[in-house]
Amino acid sequence: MALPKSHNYDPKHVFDIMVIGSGIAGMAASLFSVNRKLSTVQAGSVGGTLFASGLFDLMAIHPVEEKRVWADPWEAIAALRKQGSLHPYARISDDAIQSAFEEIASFLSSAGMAYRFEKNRNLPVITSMGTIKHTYCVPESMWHGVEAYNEKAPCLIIDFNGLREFSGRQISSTLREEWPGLRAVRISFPDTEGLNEVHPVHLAQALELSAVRESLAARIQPEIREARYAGFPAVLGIKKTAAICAHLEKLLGIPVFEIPMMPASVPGFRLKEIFDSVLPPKGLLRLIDKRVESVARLDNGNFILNIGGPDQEQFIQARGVILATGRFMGKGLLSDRKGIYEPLFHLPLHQPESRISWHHERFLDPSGHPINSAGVEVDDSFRAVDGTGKTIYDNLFIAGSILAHQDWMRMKCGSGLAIATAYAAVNAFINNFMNKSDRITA
Amino acid sequence: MERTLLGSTFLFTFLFVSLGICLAGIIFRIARWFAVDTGPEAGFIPVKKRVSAVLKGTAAALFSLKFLKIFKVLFFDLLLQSRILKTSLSRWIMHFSIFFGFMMLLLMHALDEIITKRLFPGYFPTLDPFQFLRNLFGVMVIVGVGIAVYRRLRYRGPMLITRYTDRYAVALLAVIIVSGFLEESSKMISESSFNRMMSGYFSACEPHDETALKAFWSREYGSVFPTMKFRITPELLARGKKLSEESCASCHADTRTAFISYPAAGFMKPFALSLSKSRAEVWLYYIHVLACFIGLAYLPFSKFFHLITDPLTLLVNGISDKKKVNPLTAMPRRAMELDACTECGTCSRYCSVAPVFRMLQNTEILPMHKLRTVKRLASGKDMDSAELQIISEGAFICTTCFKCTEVCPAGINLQDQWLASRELLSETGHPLPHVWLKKFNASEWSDRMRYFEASWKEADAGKERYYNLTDDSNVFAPCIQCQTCTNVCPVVAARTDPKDAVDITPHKIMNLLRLGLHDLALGSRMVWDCTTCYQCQENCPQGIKVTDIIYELKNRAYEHFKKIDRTAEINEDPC
Ligand SMILES: Cc1cc2nc3c(=O)[nH]c(=O)nc-3n(C[C@H](O)[C@H](O)[C@H](O)COP(=O)(O)OP(=O)(O)OC[C@H]3O[C@@H](n4cnc5c(N)ncnc54)[C@H](O)[C@@H]3O)c2cc1C
Repeated sequence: MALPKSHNYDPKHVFDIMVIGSGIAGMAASLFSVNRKLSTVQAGSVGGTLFASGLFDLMAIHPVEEKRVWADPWEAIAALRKQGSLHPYARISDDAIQSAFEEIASFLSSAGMAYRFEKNRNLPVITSMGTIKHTYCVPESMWHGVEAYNEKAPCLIIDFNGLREFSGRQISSTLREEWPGLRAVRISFPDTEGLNEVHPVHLAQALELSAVRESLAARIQPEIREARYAGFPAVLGIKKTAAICAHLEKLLGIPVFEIPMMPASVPGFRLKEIFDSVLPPKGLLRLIDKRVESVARLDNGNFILNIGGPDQEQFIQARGVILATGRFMGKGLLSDRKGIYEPLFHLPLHQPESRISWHHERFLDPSGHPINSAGVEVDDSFRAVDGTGKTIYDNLFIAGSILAHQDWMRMKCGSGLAIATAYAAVNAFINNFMNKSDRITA
Repeated sequence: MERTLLGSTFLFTFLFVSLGICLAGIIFRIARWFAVDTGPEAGFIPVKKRVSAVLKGTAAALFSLKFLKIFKVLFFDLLLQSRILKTSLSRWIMHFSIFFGFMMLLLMHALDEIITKRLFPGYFPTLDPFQFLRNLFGVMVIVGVGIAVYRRLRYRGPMLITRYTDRYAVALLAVIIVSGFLEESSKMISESSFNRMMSGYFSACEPHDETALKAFWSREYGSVFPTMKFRITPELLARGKKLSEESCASCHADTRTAFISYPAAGFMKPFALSLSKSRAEVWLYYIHVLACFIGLAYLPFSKFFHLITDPLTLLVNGISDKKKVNPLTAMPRRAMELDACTECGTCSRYCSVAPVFRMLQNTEILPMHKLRTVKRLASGKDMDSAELQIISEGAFICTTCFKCTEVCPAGINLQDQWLASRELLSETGHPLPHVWLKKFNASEWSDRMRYFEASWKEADAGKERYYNLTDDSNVFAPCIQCQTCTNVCPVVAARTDPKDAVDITPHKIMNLLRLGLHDLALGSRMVWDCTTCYQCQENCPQGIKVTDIIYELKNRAYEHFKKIDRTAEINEDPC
């Protein structure tokens, strides 16, 4: 939906929905909203997206205490539901989760970052540590890595002098027993000879030039020998990754793939670039680098959101809000001596009784810490509820990692949770509020 | 006394002496253009080469097909003074009045024997339109000078400075023009002048003819005859008019068209007798002519020299390529430009870093002042290290944005002057801060800081004005060392040469700050090579003001290091 050009932050202009937060959950919520023709405004700094590895986990580990890895994520989710877990997935149907993933994947693919997933299977992906991560949805550029691993085919891992966060040798030595055909080689990236340090985004930018790719390929060529796949750190371009992979494959004569690196990594950067550049033309008003400072509610129920600091106040009026401000890192939740709190709406939180019980005694306790499941509790429409289960506002919806009863980091369900709950929240906003509310909505 | 110039040996001698001084002065000043060293090529190019290059360049320009360009410069920039018009209408009116009035008086009046007479065979200074125009041109100069004086009285500040040269120039112009008017007026009322003319060009037929003519002139043309008593009758006037038409009109128009001198003569009437007796018109004539001669002799050493240098500069820079500086001709050109500056202040008013001047009060930021300093530097004046440091600071703040060059009415390539003088500064051991900063690496700087800390602690107490980010640990505490800032930094990406590589990248700077190692952060190349593109700040997932911090560190480093640098040689090894 096109934005009225004259809007100019006029607080009298009423948006359908305001998305607070621009992590994966916020971005997904914005996408779903503009796809559904809602007039949408979004605030938040770059935030978590940059940290995403580019892999979209759905669900891989449950229960956390047992560290049980599931080959089929849907089975893991079914197990959750069967045990009566309060995990947000328990409030969404498999079909809805599936549709959410498809919508995101088709958006990213049309923006040039294609994804691959198999219906009922988590995919094994090699990480820069040499471990295998089980995830649901992988960028096209990493797909051949999954194949190579499955086939245990002869494979060359390339790393670059000065690239601190990535070591081919570590990967091959960690996986040696499992995958003897893995071999690592370290070369200098073109034009970085003698540098102590090189940085992934810079390499990715350089690789957007075909001349750099050709000179890189010439350096790799003599090392290929028996290898049937070539694995690179995830630096194969920012905007033209597909074309760059294709070009390298042509130059090297074998399939190439990317290996996800430690955050903040290039694939996260790609996601951010896509969200930043493709969503606004679709009609999203994106308040880049702006935070929501405070919130007020009008008599008619609309929210008035104060954007930015006291020196540059702007006000946005919206019929509904999707809160996707994350947990501690995104500052969606804050803590003080008394406990944790949600600073914008002061929502009641599910949290441990006192600070002492935030963590188990052992730091590396496999079951995680109670604090890792703290957050906002919701009803089936993803509206925040209080301790008695009563809906607090009929137009405030919650999505992403700020939700209670999940430990996405250990359960490996981060992006899936963000995407699925954003999907559920936007749909609930339309079905259970916009279409039902007797408030004037035009 | 003979009334014409040509008969007077005194005036002739004076004229030739003045002319001699003027020519010698011009030759001397132009010769100096070839001797002065400016810019990085200084000293390497012998004078002979400079001369031949300039001659060659001039010949090449003359024989090239640049006529259109030359014509454009001559017509628009010189004749119409369009460069002044571009920046200010009032200043254009001022300058154009002086320029046009003065030039016309010079050509049509001062050189009338040579020019006007040839062009207009019937020319006579007391005929119209010449008489009228002379007054008009005189008024133009007076009005222009009046505006100039008014501007200078009203505005007092660094953008427009009034020096002795300006005062002399204005005073001389005023003397020449005012004495000219007064001379004309006093001649109008002078009985002796009238009598002299009458005895030369008039012969009476009837007894009352003389009286009739005088009666007519005193009534109509403002002449005054204090010693004569006559009763004016209509018959007498009619006769006088007829006689005047027969004998005078071929050389004398109605004096009223001298619309300044005529009313002025009216005011002088009460003193007519004594003025006439003391031969005031002759004295005024002398004052007028001698003032002109003095002006001529003074020209090469005064502000009037810009009558020569500015057209030359406009022509040279108008037809030469500003982007490709020919080192052989550059030095004479720069020296000429230094002479072409009239300190009109236009450059300073358009300077894009002038607001910084308001903060730092270092006049070396303002182009007008800077050019004067460049002139002093070029002429080899001794300056002490502190002065050079101030100059270097001023030069460093310049962004070479080209605005001053764009607006300079004299067409000076100021851009090139700045670049050239910067080189000179660095040769004299006062390079720009980002250059001398690389003398030591970050840890060497931090060692030096510790060494000198004690000495500047007291001096600096309470002096730090505009810093607050780097002292506030909340600002950088949220840093999680994710390296996004370094990852997106184009400066880090661009340094592909290991010798030049960024030593301490943005995320490491944040880490040093977190660890309280400010000193180490200050000396890092990153701080000095940062282009403030704000990529790091925009991309920081934790919302840390990375760019603002780096910028602040740079200011801080400069404040601290400039004090250390001066003594660095003496204390080679502080540890
Ligand atoms: C190191 C790391 C690695 C990861 N790897 C993976 C992976 O391999 N696979 C996977 O599936 N997922 C991964 N994730 C998880 C995923 O990327 C998301 O971070 C996670 O799901 C949480 O998403 P979110 O959008 O709810 O919150 P966040 O990503 O924390 O985003 C919260 C957003 O809200 C904004 N915000 C907070 N308060 C305000 C306010 N008042 N006004 C405006 N904006 C506000 C913040 O600026 C931020 O943009 C990883 C995350 C991290 C940190």
